[in-house]
Amino acid sequence: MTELANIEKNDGSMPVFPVDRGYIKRKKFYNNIAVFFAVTAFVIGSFPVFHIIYEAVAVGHKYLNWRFISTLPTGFPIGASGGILNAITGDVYLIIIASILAVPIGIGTGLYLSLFGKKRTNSVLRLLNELMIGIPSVVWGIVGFYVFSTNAGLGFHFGFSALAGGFTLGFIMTPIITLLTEQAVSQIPAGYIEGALAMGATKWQATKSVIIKAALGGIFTGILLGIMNIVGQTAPLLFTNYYNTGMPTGVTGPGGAVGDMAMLIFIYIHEPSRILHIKAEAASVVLLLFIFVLDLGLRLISYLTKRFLS
Amino acid sequence: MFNLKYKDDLYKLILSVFVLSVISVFLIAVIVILFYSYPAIIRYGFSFLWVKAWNPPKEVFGALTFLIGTFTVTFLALLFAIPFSFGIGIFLQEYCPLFLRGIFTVIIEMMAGIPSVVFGVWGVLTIVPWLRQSVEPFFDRYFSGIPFLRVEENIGYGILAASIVVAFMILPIISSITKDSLASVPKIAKDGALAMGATRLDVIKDVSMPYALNGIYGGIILGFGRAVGETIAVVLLIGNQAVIPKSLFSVGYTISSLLANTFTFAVISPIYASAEVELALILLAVSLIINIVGRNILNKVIGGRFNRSRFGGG
Repeated sequence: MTELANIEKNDGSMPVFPVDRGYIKRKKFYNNIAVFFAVTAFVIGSFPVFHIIYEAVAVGHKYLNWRFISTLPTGFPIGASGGILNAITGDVYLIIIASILAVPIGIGTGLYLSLFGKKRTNSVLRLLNELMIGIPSVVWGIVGFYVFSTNAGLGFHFGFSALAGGFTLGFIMTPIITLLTEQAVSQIPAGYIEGALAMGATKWQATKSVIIKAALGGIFTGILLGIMNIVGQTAPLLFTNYYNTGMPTGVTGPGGAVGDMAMLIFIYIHEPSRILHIKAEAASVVLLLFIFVLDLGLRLISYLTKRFLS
Repeated sequence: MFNLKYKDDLYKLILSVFVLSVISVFLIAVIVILFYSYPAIIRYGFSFLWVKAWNPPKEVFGALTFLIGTFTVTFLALLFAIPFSFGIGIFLQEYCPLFLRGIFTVIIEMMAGIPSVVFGVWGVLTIVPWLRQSVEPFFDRYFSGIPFLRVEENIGYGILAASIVVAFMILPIISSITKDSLASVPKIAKDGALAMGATRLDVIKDVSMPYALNGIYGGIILGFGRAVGETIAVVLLIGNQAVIPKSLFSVGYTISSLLANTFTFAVISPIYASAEVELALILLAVSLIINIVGRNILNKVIGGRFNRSRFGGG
């Protein structure tokens, strides 16, 4: 205490630690500038989300009614009157076909990774799946064309059809479901699976009675994410399905092509016609609504899973 | 009776079939692209990469115009996106009040879910008119002497419009990976610095950033991968003319937009189709390399945790 008291009359023998008020002020000022830039970045960066939704609703609100959703496009240029029923039907076709391919393969591979995989195979398979997610969708479109659509050479010769488009989208969906299934199984508390195995259950019995139930939320999240991803895809469909203004009469060959929301928006915005631009915005609202509902659903699922699993 | 061992073997066998199908999907993709680009590869060799002309009737094919277009758009998009992504990541992880962090993160993730075609529509109806009516006349009046900023045709479509929209599309990837990398910094290190009287900015600059920087690089690399393959929004905005862009405002063409526009016509002639598939091969090779590098960096920093914003695109 004596030393402290002596600071006032320091004769130079004791070190002095000056408190530079200006320095502190400067530091705080720089920090405030950083806050300002961070907030500005967020405001500008998130601006498109609001503006896209606002503009789509503001421009397209005139057509946001039941008739738009429940009628086929007619008129000239095609779509000038009528609605988007062809696209909604087509999306249902494509989602179902893609899921038929992707859901079993994805879940199966995810289960293999977490139940039987050795460390090395796992890392290779995981790398493969992440690479597949990274492949540009236009490249998938070309692959899909040569595997499913083309009428010459090797391939399935489905023509431009729902089956070709759906399977191509299934290729895109598979790695997403695989990775999320694997993640879901790895998030189950280890005791659950080990307990079942310790009781003498086979891995199949453990899967059937424990793993599937505990990982269901995560697996559903994967499926919903996959669907969310493929309904927005346009590029793969350009070469495998293209577009149909009417209802499909089959799933392969002539008449097998289906409409698609993303494709419809793409084609409408390409036309030099104001009314089609407005309809493209109205269709965007429907597409965004669908995607946000899926988003909400998977958030709800992961919330509930977290709540009940731990 | 069933042997328990046997039963698991059967289960493993069935699952192996699914694993093999995933592997074969990947191999099919690579093999199809290699097989169909093979004629063009042997016919044009490496000159494919630096020949400017793209003339289907004369069967002269060179990728240079499209390579330059693709990489210009990609680099400009990264240039626009990186500062904002940094800001967003830092804001969400360090400055944002806790009760708002959840909802703000959801907004950024929602942006990742918006389909590319909807971004394209937004670009056509918002960004292009804005560029045409405000930005281009402004640059035309005050910066017309600078070569890279010359406005040739005041139409709004072009490299800049495409880059701006692609920048917004890769923003969620980079910013959410930035946020995750910052979140992986040990709390004790940050608290220690704060306790010593450091401001938040000091903590970010001297504690968090050095720790998180590798993860952020990984995020930027993945953003690059997304931007290179971006198709539909670019088709709608870039103007689609096979010229080498001379300024920010000129029109151009990218590999992916050329494929989207002409591949269906190209399949009539085998060598034309093959040249287009070779362009796809370039995209495929770039995306594979980028993803291997980015993934390795990210796995070291934020582990195998999967980031939702990495999906999407079209």
